[in-house]
Amino acid sequence: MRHLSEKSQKNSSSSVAFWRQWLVFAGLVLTLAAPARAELVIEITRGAVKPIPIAIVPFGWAGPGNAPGDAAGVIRSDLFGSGRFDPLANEDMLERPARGVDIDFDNWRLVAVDYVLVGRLEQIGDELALTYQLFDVYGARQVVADSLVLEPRELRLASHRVADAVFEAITGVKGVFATRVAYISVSGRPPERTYRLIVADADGNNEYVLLESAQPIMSPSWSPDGRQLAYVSFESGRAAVYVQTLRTGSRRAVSDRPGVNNAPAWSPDGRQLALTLSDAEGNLDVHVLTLLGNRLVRLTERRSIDTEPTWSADGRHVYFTSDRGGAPQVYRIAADGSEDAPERVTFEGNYNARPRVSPDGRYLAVVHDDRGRFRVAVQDLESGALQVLSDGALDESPAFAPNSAQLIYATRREGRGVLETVSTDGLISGRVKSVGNDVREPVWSPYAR
Amino acid sequence: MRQVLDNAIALIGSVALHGVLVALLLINFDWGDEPPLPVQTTIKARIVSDETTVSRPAPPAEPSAAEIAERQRQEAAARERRQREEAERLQREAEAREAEAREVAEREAQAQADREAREAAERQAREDAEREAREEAERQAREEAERKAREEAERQAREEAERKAREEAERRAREEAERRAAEARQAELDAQLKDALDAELARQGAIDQGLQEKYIEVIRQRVRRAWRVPAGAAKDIVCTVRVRQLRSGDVVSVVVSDCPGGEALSRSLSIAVNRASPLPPPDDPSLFEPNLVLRFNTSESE
Repeated sequence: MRHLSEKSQKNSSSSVAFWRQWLVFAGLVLTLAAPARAELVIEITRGAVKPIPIAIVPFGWAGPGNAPGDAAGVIRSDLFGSGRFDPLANEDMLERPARGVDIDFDNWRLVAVDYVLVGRLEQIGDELALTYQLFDVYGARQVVADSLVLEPRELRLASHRVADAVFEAITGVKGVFATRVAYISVSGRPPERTYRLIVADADGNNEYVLLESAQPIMSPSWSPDGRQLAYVSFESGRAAVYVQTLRTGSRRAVSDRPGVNNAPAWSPDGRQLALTLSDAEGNLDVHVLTLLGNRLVRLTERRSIDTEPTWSADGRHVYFTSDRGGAPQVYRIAADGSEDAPERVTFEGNYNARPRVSPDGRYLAVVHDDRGRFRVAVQDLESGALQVLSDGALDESPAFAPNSAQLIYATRREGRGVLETVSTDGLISGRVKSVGNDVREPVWSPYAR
Repeated sequence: MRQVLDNAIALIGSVALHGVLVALLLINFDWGDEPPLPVQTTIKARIVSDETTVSRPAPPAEPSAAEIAERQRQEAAARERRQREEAERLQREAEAREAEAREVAEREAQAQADREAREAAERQAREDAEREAREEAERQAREEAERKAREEAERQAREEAERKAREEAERRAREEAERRAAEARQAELDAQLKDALDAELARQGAIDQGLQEKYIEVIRQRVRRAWRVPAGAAKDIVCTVRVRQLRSGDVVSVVVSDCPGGEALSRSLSIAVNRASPLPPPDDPSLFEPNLVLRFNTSESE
């Protein structure tokens, strides 16, 4: 996939590079893991009070036979699923232009949409050209436009890319439709249980199983480049930390020490893992493992439980959960081990655990004991203000989307583990409808690079 | 002859009596303006007395034998004659007495009548005098009364005039004072009214200003409701939007300036204004403002 028009894509060359790589990777994955049916469908349970009305006109098709896919349908689904848009139904459209020059803006003012997206697909040899234009209806001005060249099987991903571009142009926030989510799925009953590490598109499509085991799989963590996942697997009979490359499926154990090897977290530069290790006395402490050279630095040395490490956005600090104050709270310590004593970060309530820092570094997501109910909350790292976002009773494992505007977390509904999403401002909630199995420990991929 | 004498005497006496009566009348009465008693009465009486005198008897003659007889006869005749004469005399005397009595009575009656007439005249005169005096007195009294009344009336009139003049003067003075007071009061009222009017004008101006502010705020709220703040907009970002509208409220142009929130935020405001078009009119058409400057804060959206 490559851009024909560069005018609205500043990083198009890197995008091209990524998509080339992504295609290679995807092709490999498709050969390695059989495509599973979509297990996840995100259903918005609470949308924006005033979603933005937009018309996504079915794309024109210039080629033999039927179009290879419904790009506009994917884009519409993405934008609607964000909870922030109110796409116009196709049957309410007074015209269906495929080019900006064919738009009669009065027809769109009449149906009261703020924006109209038009586009078309063309068959060019074995490739497709996807061209789109987004217009501000009232201003009758083009907001963003681009043209992509892609292979037919890339159409869905390319459509997510268009949705991302539209989302960002209108909301000012980068879209995450072209990202992925990794999570753990558990099926069967003990002792016949199956644990799977699954990766899927953010909309639940293109799901595939990265690892399947009869022993527990835990704590998946994306590498900053989105090419690797670290996780804990008990497949050897005890917990060990593995790093697996998605593209190749190859993996290696990076921490298989006696005792506990748990909760790996990639540093922003991708060179280190923070993790929890136990010493000979079973005391849990936070360590930082430098992958290249396998060098280990111990950050905490207390007899308290210090675990669930995560990195600050700048990579200089590690946040972790500790009960050294008597109850679980989040602390912060220098990632290089230069500080003897960590600094306490959370103060509201008597239980704040499982910290995650937003990619933009502004928020700290935690599991917060909200009057006996464990809920996802975010603390503004600058002001210290804590806001509870979720409304369940056993909400756990919050993870930020790469745009920092949304979180995904696990909870239990009707006795099953399910995934839910919430916007960082708490205004929009969604439920990821899974089919059948328990799902837990979701983690959002970084932007593709 | 005697009868003539008698008649003469009687006549004389009668005349004398009448003269006395006349003298008495003349002496005793101031006739004034009154006319004298009528003389006719005296003349008539003389005629009556003349007849009486004729019937008076003559004195008797000496009687002899023959003569006595004669004389007796004569005497008888004489006696008879005397008797007859006597009778005649008596008759005459009686008649004379009667006449005299009648005359006296007449005289007395005359006198009485005269007296009565005199008295009547006197009474009349007295009465007249009294009446005149009374009338004079009455007249004088009346005149006096009239004079007094006139004077009183004049006095009263004068006093009335004076009073009226005084009252008029007082009234004028009072009216003047009242007029002045009224003028002063009016001036005061005018001043108060002017103050009130000024205050009212100022208040009206303020109200107008308030109404215009309210009108613009109504527009602003309408735009705000139409505004979808972009998800990526930071909190508490304030943007200024300059809107030009037609009388119809239709938006002609929107310029978002001073909006440090990026293109998406600026466009969202421009769209919001257009969505809100036509903008609501003011309650008072004079408050219409074609050029609006609206400010929005990203934290005020619903």
